[in-house]
Amino acid sequence: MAVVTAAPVTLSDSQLLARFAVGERSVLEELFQRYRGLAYRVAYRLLGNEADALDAVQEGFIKALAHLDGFQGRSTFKTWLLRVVSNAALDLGRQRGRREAQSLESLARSDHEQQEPLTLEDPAHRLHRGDLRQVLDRALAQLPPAQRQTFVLHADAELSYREVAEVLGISIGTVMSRLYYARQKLRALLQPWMKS
Amino acid sequence: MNVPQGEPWTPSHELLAAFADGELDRHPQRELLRRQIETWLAAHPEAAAALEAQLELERLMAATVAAEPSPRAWHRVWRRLHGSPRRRWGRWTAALCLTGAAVASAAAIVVALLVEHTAPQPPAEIPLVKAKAADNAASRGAAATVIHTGIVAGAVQRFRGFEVLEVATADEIEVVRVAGADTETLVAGRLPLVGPMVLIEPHEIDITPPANDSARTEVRKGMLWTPLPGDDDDDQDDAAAQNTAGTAVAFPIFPLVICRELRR
Repeated sequence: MAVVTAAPVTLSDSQLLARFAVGERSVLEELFQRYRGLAYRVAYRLLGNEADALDAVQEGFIKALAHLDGFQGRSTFKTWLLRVVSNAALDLGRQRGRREAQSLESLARSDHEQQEPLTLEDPAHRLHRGDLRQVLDRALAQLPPAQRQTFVLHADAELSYREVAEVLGISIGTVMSRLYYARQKLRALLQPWMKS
Repeated sequence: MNVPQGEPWTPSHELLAAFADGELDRHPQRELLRRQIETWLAAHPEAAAALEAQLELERLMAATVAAEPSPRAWHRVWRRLHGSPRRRWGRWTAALCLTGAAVASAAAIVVALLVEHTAPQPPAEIPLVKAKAADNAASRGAAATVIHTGIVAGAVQRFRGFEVLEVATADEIEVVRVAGADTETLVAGRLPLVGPMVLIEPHEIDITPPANDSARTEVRKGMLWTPLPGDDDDDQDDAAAQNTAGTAVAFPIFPLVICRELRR
C-alpha cells in the first residue's frame, strides 16, 4: 500500500498572525523561529555583542507582538519586526551607554604596524573574522544612528530600498542618501582594511 | 530615480549606488536607465572604483555576519519571550487590582468619615440651661424652645433627627405671651406631661379680658397663657408660631410645651 505523506503546510505570516490574534499562542514559536536570526543579525550589528543583541531581539518580539494593532498589515511582519527590533537595539544601546568606539586610528596603528592591509581575499594576511567584525562594528558605531540603522537594515537584513523606507518611515530618496553617506564614512574608516 | 533626460548626463552617486545594489531592477524604465548608466560608466572608468569599493564593503559585511547564538541561548530567549506577555499582563493586572483596592478602600474611608460628620448625631448630653427667659434671645428667635429654670424637671428626650425639647414644671415658668397664630393649636396640658400631647382650640380655653387698654387679651388654661389670634402685632411671631404649632402636632407623643416668650 502506498503511503502518501503530505508536505508540511507553511503558513504565511499573515495567517500566523491571524491565529495569534485569536489566542493561538503556539504560532508565536513559528514566527520566532522564522525571524529570530534576521532580527539578531540586525541587533548584533547595532549593538556589537551577543547578550545585548539577544535582549534587543526579545524586546523587539515582545513589543512587536504587543502592538500588533499598530501593525495593521500595512507592511509585512518582517519589516514591522525589524523596525521594532532595530529601534529597540538603538534604545538599548543608548540606555546601556554603549562603549564609545575606540579610535579606529589607534586601532589601525596597532594592527597596521604588525600586518599588511588585510582582506578576505588574501588569506595569508587575513584578520581573524572576529577581529574584522570588531573593527567593522567600531566603524559602524561612529555613524549617526539614522545612517547606521539604514545601512544595517539594507546590508545585514538585506532589505530593499523600498523596504528600508517602509521600516523607517522615510522616502526612498532619503534611504539612498543615507546609504551613500554611510558608505562614504565607512570606506574612510575602513580604508586600512580595504583593498580598493 | 527618474530616467535622465538630455545630454550630457551624469548619474548621481546615489543612483550609481542603487545601480550597484540592483535596485534599478524595480524601476519601471530599468532597461533604459541601465543602458544609460553603463554607457556613462564606460566613458568614466574612474567611477568604477567607487562601485568596486561599495561591493567590497558589502562583502566585508557579509563576511562578518554575527554567528548564530547557541541553541541554549535561543532557548532562554524563547522561554522569556513565551512567558513574557502573559507575565506582563499578570503584573499589570495585579498592579491594577492593588491600585483599585487601595483607591476603593480610601474612598470608603472618606465616605464613612463624611457620613459620620454630616449625619445628625444624638447629643451627648444636653447642658443645663439656667437663664432668665426674658433675657434669653434664643428663646425669642427659636420656633420652639422651652426654657427651664432651675433644675431640669422634665425628661430629656433624645431622638436622632428631631429637635429635643426639655419640659419645665409649672411652677418654674410663667407664660407671659404666646404668639397668636399658634393659639389654635396650642400645646397644653398639665405638667409634667405624660403620654400624648393635647392640643387645645380657642373654645376650650378661658379668655381673660385685659385689665386695661395697655394690657393684652390673654387666654389661660391651666398654667399656659396665650393671646387670641390677631391680638398683637407680632406677625412674624405668628408665622413662626404656626410653624411651631405644626411642629408640635407632628410629634404628639412627645411631652412638649410650646412657648414664645417666657418670663420668670
